[in-house]
Amino acid sequence: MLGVGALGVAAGRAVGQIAATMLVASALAFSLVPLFPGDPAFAILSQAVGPLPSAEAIAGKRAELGLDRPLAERYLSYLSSVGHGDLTRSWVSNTPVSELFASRAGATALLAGTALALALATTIALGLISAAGSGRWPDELARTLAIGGAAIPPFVLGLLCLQYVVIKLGVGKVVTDGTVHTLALPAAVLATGIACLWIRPLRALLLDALTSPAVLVAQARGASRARVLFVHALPHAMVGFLPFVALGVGGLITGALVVEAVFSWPGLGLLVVEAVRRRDVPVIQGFTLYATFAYVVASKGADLMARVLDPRLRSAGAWAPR
Amino acid sequence: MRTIACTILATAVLAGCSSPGVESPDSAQSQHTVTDQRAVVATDQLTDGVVDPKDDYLEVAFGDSEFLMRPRIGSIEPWLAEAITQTTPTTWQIQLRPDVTFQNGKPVDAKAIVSWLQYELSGGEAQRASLGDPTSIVAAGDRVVEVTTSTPFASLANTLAGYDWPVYDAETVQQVNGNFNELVGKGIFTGPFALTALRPGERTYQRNERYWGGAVALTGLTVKAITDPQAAVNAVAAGEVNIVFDPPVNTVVAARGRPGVHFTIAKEAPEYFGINLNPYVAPLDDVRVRRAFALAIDNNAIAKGATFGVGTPLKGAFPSDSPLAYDWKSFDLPQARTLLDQAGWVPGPDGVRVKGGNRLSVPMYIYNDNFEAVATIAAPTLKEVGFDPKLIRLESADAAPEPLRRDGGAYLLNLQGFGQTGDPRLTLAQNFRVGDIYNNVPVRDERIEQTFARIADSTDPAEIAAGLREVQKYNAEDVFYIPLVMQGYRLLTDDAYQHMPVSPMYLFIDRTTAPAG
Repeated sequence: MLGVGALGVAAGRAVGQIAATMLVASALAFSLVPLFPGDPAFAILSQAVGPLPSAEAIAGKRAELGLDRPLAERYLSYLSSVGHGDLTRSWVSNTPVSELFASRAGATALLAGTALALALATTIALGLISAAGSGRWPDELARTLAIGGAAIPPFVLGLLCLQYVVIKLGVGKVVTDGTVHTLALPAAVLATGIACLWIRPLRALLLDALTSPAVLVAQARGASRARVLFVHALPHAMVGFLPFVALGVGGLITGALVVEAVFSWPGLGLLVVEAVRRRDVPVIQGFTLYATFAYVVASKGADLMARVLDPRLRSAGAWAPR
Repeated sequence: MRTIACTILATAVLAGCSSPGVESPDSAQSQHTVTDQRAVVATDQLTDGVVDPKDDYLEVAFGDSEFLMRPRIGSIEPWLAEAITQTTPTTWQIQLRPDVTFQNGKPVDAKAIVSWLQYELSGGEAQRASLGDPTSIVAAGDRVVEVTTSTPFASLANTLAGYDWPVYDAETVQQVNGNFNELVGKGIFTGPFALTALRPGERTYQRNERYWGGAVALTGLTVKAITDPQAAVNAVAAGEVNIVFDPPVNTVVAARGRPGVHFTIAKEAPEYFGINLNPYVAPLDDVRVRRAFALAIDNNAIAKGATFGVGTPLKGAFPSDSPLAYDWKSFDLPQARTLLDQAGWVPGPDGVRVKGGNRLSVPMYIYNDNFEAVATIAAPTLKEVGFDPKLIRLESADAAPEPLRRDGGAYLLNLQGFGQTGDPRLTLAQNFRVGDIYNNVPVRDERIEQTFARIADSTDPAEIAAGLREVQKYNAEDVFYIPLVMQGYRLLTDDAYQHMPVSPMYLFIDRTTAPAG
């Protein structure tokens, strides 16, 4: 019971830290407005195909967007809106930002979830192969693949896939539709970048685990090599690996921006890339908050999960979230 | 096409008194077959939500919305209106076509147009000002609307041919209380294709079976958002997209040599690149230096290099074959050197000319990659005659006026060409008239101001053309603005649509759009 209570305290602290981080993120996101080059009113009006806007039209648009009010006043108003779950409206389409996000969140969740699962599966498979064959050719091959894969930017990998897999081989689609039918290639590209960053840390953790007393005892008791790897070393290594998974969520968010643009995947990443191009500040601000929230929650979640899984971390004083 | 445009220019009534002869909306291309095919179109302009129709400029490109008057290069012609006529200096009459309906079946009559105009004018002072600040808009018959403005206003017909004036069913629009996504499937516009479904990154349009202009060739359109130009080329190559609207000019490189991918460009160009000079700050305060600066820029090289060969070099503000043309810009390095010698600038040890201890440095303000390419290509020949061009990258277009006014120099800009509203006066005025959008310095020349004032309310095409040439002559004498190149809208197409005409006015899809064969 004491453990559960301590866990509750830790969870409460984590929630407090998340709230504080979100407050800082909201201030940073809001400070984007004056940092944006040029006048957003001009930028929005000049998106039109027609003649560029007059000074009166620009002044009218600035008033409509509230840009003629003091920054602090606008921030407090924004904070109040966000506090009520209202991410304000897109400057371009006048649609509520939360509505825009809701319409695209499913596609991004599908892509990110699949990529995460693929990346985990690939990392575990190659990490195990690498650790099991340490110093031999499977290990060398796995590490070379990891370094090579991490060195190729996702957009280059995406374009190569489009050129050679879709165009040359006729497999998959250039323009994806956000459903499982066109999911494979973008998910694979997104997963590759993350998996390649994960393989070497997992290998190191596995090698470390293979020399731990628990594993040595299991080996001494005659456990098979497979049992040693899967039942003893892998769970042991996964506790240390959880922070990397949390970091991977950050990679997923930034990677999704690129991969969605390359594959025209109709998710949040493509939405925000478009918003940057059009200087649709409320969408960018909303996405910044969303990305911060996702990252912080994943990070704190990984911390808590590590403590749940590892009894050593539940020792006195070890509950304070890192 | 250019010959056709010039003929139109020469014969059209430039100030907005439309021809009374009414033809079908696209009679020039009326030979087409009704098909059972859909087209897949890609654009980087698509938004997720439906925008307020009064702010919409894109639906016209998909054949969804239409205007009262259709813009052509340098002229306008009847579209939903048979004619828009100025009956007194402050009164205009809009004569509507008979039997035109919105896609939802409601008639486009005087009542609907009054309602639409009133909703449009609720958009604010800027919208009211652009229509001459109307004091009354009334139905003067079933198909006649009378607009009265507070002061004489010559551009009403041209304004109504602009992209921000699509005609729609304002009554239905008002019913959705700002939830514009609810307009999907409501058929608020009049065009051959109606928006029927919307999802992130994609819109679906169906053929308007009751289209007033005649049978529609395609059964519908699927419009996809593709923001990456390379992805657009790949999508056409893979057979997933038939037509890409207005890709960047550098797409021509990616498309070159790709089987099944065709890059075409409108011969008539609505987009012009040029340079504003500040004639009030040294060293460009000497007209001989400004002339030398213009003479040292090679527009042919810029067209070839900065627009990948798809742009056309200019010799004046308007193309040489336009009846409004006044050609003066040439590339002549010896003459540039002579002018600089006459102005007292002598070559220094590093080739940069000096005078009174000052170097012949000229700041060149640029705000995007296109202009960086233009300036980079212009720089070697400017250096060759002794200029020291300093390229200064600005954050955005609207960041230019301040350093340009303060420090002088040259500002590279692009402007929407003549034809966007059908009135070339508005285009030219943008650069030269005090208070207009591209007169960034601003340059104030009384001769130019007086000429524009003289032709502002004119309805005589010859008088307007003469006035516009006069303005260009004054510019050629004093070199406030240097024309560089022009480029038209572009299409990427697959084999089936490779012969599709490229609208110079961004009106890409119409009822005749269909695959070859």
